[in-house]
Amino acid sequence: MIEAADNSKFTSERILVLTPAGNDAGNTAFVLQQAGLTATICPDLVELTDDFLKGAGALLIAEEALSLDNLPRLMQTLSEQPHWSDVPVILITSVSNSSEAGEHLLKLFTPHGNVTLIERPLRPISLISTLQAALRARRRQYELRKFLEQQQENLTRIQEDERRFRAVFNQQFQLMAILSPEGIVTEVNDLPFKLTGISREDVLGKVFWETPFWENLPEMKCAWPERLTRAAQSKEPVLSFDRYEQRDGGVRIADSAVTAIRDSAGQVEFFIVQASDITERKQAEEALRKSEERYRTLVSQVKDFAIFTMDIDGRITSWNEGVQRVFGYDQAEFIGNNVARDFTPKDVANGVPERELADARKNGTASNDRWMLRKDRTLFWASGVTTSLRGSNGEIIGFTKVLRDLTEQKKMEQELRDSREILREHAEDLEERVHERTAKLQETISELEAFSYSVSHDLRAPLRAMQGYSQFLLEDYCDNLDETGRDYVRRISTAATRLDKLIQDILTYSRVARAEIHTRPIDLEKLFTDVIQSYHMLQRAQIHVRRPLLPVLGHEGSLTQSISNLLGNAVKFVPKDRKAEVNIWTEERDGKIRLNFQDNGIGIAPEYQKRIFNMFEQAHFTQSYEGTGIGLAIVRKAAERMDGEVGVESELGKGSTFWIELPKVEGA
Amino acid sequence: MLKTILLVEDNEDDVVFMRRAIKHAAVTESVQVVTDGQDAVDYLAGIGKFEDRRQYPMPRIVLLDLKLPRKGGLEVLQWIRSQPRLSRIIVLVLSTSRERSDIVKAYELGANAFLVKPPAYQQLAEMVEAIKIFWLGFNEFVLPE
Repeated sequence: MIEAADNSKFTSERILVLTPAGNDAGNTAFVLQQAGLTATICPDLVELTDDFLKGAGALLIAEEALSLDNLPRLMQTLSEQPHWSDVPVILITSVSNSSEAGEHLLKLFTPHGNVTLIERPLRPISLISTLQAALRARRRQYELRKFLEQQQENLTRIQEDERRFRAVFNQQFQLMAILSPEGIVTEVNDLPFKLTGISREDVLGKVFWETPFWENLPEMKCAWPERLTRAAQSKEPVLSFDRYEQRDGGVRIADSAVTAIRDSAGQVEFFIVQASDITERKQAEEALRKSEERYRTLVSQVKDFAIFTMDIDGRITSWNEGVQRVFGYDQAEFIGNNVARDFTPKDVANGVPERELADARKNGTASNDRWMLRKDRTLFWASGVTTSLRGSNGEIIGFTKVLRDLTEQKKMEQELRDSREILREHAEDLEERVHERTAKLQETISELEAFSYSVSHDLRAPLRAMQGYSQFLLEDYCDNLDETGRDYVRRISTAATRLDKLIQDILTYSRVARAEIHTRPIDLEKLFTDVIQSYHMLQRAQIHVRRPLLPVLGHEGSLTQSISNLLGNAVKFVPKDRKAEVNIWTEERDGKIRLNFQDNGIGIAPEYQKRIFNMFEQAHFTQSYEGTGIGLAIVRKAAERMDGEVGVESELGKGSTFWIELPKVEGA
Repeated sequence: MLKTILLVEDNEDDVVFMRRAIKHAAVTESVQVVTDGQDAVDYLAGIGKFEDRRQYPMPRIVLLDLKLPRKGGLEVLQWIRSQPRLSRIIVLVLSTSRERSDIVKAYELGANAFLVKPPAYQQLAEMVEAIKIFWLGFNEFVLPE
């Protein structure tokens, strides 16, 4: 289309020329150029049509150049020109042709274009004047186009303004009305109708204060005319604040503005009435006000906490009474000062006040636990927090600091720490002493071990000598002694034997008590077989082992010792007329294995049942049952060393059941 | 040839018992007794008062107590085994001790046996009888050159 074409002077003023090549094409171009006109020579009709689409002032076409093949396209293009455009077409026709041909051409072009016929022979002056006239007409067309475009633009802008105004007007979250100077409603925005359900027809064209909006509000019916009167007299809007008591008892709050709009003569042209329901906002404001008041009251009444605000540089902007109590400053001395004044000189030198604010700025809060200075420059332990305050856009506008004087607690903590330190020192001291004692004890034990060794060696040697010489006496000098003498010698020998046994038992006990013990699973059946085979005394008794014997965790040496002691006792403490019988069995009790030795012996009186496991405690002090009183103590000590227990159930005269309880073998 | 037994024993009673048991069992006519470890070493080395081998012949068996004056039994044993001439002599440790550490040590140092002194003479007699049968009977030995 033409609009798309280059709009420059060159294209809008140029003349597109189509003449048969050679003939008078060159002449025509020359003539036009001489006249100061711009000509574009087109080789054929197709190119001319295309060029025309890019913009042209006029077309100059020689009749001979037209061919019927291409003509329809030109006609089409000409007929599709925009409504402002009617490009002048000057056709050059020859006199030699009949006037019929010219008529034919005119008929052909006229419906589509603004055609002027020029007959040959061409006179340059008439060609130029014709073209200039055509260009003038064409220029007017372009001007018209420009004017039309501007008009269109203005219209669009006005429509857009109106649309926006309507949208704003209707989207107002308030009542907005335009009233005539007499108070007749000419416009109302949509919202009041949506909110009230009142129809637009009941409002438009009515007197504003008589519309259904104010149906139940008689005081408003009086108020509006009065406000309009005042607005008419004032350059400022008339502002009011209304409470509407509603039928349901609720109260709505609204504010309103009436503005008079005047014409150029200063007469009121119309009024704009705006009213908005601000109940929720008022309630929120009221709630906020109350909350602020409560907060202020709270802050001012809190005495134990110093609460104050600072600007972004740490300058104090507000305070509470707690400040006076904690710091000792009064309001005038406190507000306006930089908080750094209350830090210790050392903290100030180390940049602590700035760092604290930087931390609060970065993290929202920063802890304030440190020694600070009171007004009298004494130190107190301040414990609190600094919080950044943000403005409505999120920017930091200052800080609050809430802190308490926890000097007493701090002192107590310190004292507690001191006490702990003392305690720790004591503990160390004690530990050291324990070490010393342990070392001494170790030494004593070593001495005891040495003593045991010498007991076993030195003490037993004389006993063996006594036994030996008694025997030699009886062997070699039997005839020289009477029966009493021989009895004495035998008694010497027996006493020596008993003492020897006693010493051996004590050695066994000390060995069991102090030897290193590592427990491992023990096959009790094998152990019993070994023990029974190695003691002659046991082979005289009937020993029934109830198989299977459950395996236990124990120490073989200690267990062998214990079993032989218990078996020994079982066959020893039997009345003379009775054959010793012993039943052996194991049972699981509470996750442990109990090994039982049931005998048919003389039994143990209840009062002795506990004591017999102590060293040198024997239930039977008669000569008939010989013993050292250490055997059961050895058993108990051995059991304890293997994480076990020993015990006995017995009835006097009916036999006893001794038991050893040992840990079971896991997974066995 | 005499089957000399060297008894290293400081306890007079034990010496009496041992002599009696050896005599009873008719083990040998030749029992030599030294009462401390140093004398035992000197005897075996044939030095000092034990120079005369006719009077103090090289023993077939040494019965060695552990607890001895001047030089302990284990020390004596260690010395014996360090002497090329004596390294194969039969040494029977005879002690009142049953301490495992003593037993282990004695074997490690090359004792041929570790015998605990029996508590009663009767058993000592049996033991000496056994020594006669085993160590002087079945057992083969090598004489020191």
